[in-house]
Amino acid sequence: MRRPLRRVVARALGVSVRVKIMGIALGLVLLLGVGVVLHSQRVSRATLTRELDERAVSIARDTAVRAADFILFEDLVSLRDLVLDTMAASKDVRYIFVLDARGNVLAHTFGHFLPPDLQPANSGGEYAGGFRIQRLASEEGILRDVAVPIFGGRAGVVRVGMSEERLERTLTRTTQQLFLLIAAVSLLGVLAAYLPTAILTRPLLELRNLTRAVGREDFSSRARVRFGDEIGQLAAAFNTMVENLERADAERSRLLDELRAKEQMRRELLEKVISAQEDERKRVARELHDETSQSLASLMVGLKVLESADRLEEARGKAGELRSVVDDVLRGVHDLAWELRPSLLDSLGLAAAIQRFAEEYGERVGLRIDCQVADLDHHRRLPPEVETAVYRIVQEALTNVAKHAQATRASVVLRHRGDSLLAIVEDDGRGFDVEAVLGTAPAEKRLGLFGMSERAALLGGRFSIESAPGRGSTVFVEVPFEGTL
Amino acid sequence: MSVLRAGAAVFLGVLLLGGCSRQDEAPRVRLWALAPPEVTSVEVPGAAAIRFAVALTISPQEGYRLYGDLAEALGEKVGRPVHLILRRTFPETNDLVRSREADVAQLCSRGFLQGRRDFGLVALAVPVVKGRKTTPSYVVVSAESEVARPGELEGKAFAFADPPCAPEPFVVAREGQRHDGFFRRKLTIPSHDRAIRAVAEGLVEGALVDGLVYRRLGLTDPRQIEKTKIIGETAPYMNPPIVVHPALDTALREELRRAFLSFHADEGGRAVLARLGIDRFEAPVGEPEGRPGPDGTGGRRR
Repeated sequence: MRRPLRRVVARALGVSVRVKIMGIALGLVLLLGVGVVLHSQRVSRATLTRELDERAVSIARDTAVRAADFILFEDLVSLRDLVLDTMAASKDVRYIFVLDARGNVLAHTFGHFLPPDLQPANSGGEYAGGFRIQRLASEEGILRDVAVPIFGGRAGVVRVGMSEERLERTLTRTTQQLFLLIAAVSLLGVLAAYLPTAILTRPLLELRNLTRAVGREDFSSRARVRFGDEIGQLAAAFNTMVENLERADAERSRLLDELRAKEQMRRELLEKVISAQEDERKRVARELHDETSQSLASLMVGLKVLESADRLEEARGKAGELRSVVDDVLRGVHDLAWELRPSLLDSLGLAAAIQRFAEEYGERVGLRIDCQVADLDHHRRLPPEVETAVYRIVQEALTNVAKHAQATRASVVLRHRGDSLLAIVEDDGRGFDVEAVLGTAPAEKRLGLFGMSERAALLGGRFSIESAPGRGSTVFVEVPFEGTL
Repeated sequence: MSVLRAGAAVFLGVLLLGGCSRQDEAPRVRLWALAPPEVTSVEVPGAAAIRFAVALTISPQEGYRLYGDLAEALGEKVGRPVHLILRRTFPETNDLVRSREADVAQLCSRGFLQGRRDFGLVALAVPVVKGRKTTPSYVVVSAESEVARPGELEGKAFAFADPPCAPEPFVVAREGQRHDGFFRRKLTIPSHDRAIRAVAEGLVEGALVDGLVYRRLGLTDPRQIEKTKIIGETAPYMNPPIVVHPALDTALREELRRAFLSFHADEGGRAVLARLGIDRFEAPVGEPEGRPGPDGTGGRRR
């Protein structure tokens, strides 16, 4: 029982707000109307019934007074004329009859005989206020039978029956008119409720449409804030939310683009790393084959010549040549090993390795490189990954300076900043537009910078470049070492 | 959900409020009955009733009250029920006696003379009022009226009570004038007490009323009498006699005579007579002083 009721209630509550508001207006009008109709019907019925009774008593009293003489003089013809005339002259009177003091019927308004049910229907009992009223149900509807004694009851009693038919007709007509009025008022109520409902619900419908648009990621529209009421506040809050969503969406898009770009860079970097690794192997192989192997072959030939030398001076001379060849081979191997990984980094640490690299690289590319290592304890070591990363970043930065900056001087600064290691590589070269290079330059140009940035980021550090055309460039790297110094 | 329940309760309340107006079940009657009611006799079994007819000179209700008591007392005296029959005029009463529909009757002297002449009506007893068997009729006007004599009533509205019994030619004829054209307006009021009230209330300026009724009203409703005054009177006429048909059973006639003549002998009878303003009933002696008939005969003018 409760479940179907709940379903009905759920369905009723599921209709649109507009229907709900108009339904409430209609419901209230109907409830009020039905209440008013029922109440007015009750009051009208009581009033009309009272009036009917009063008229009945008045007619009966008048008839009783006029009938007294006729009864006392036994003038039954006049008595019958009296009741017939009275009935003809009075509305709502269904019958009148007169009984004498012994209950004999003296006159009545029926055709041949008085209906047998009537006489005993309102007999006996007291005449309160000089009359007695009894409600009777007949085949013609409800009758109100009034009995009034004649000459104090000594001459008999007059009975007047009033029909409620006209009363009922009046009530029915009044009720019908009231219901028509209620229907008209309901219609007007619905029409009157429509306008405010439309005004109330339009912003809600707009908000619904906007919400759907936002659901489709369309942030272009804004709700119209008409008034400062709750709906206006809702619209304002909605607009704020949409603006926030739009900003967040833009930020998300930007981050997504950035992520995609970084991903692309990473992929390219990985390719370059693999390719560089391959190049490095090829170079090592070529170096070993072209240089070291040739020198060793030459050394083999020299040893054979030395083996077959007859003279000591010749042998000594040859040995000296061979030592020179070995010397070259050793240097070659040393250089090869240095280029693969500076052993100083492992043995003496970052500061020494960078100083050494700066000296040698400067010499090799013809660049004057100043190296300042402040507050850096040579005897304490940084974590190997930090040292390697910072070393490679500085190495890459100086390589870039040598390749692109057309600089005459460069400087490398290493120092502490709090719990971080700060490395600055500066040059007096031609500089460049950082934004342009990072944003639009071909990938191979950006790859070096991206590699440095990635190295710093892997250790939780920061990497930045400051540069402008004609004003040199400065690379900042800051890497935390978490108190490992 | 509670809002819904409250709403439903309000709606039901409204409906019940409307439903409360229903009344109790009314007894059923059939207006279109096919058979007439069964007739049941309401006659009281026992001795046959004596039918006592009265030609009223007063209003029927007052007459019923007074003569009802008299009839009841008479019934007690004769030991038989007495059925009272009231009539407006003496010819009707005479007809009742003549046709033997009434056993005994009381009527004005003029009616008695008419009946005696027509079929030998017999007077059994005559009421004595203030020691006299005759009483005049009075010409009365309002107590505040400036009219002092019947002759000054010229051009006034005048009421005759009970014209068949009234001594019509008397009023102004005594002053040597006929009343045709004498009064501005001539009214007929069928009972004397109502005629007195008409004068007392100023509906007419004068009236000719029975002296017995006027005196009795002085006992029962003195305020009405105080509002009037007598400015003239007719010759005295015999008080209304008790009459019977000449062929009435002699024993019954005697029984009735005895009953009437002995009313004043007992307490109950005296009380009834007092209400009627009568001292006693006496047997008529000699030629009664009846009012003249329409032809001017049968009465003796003083």
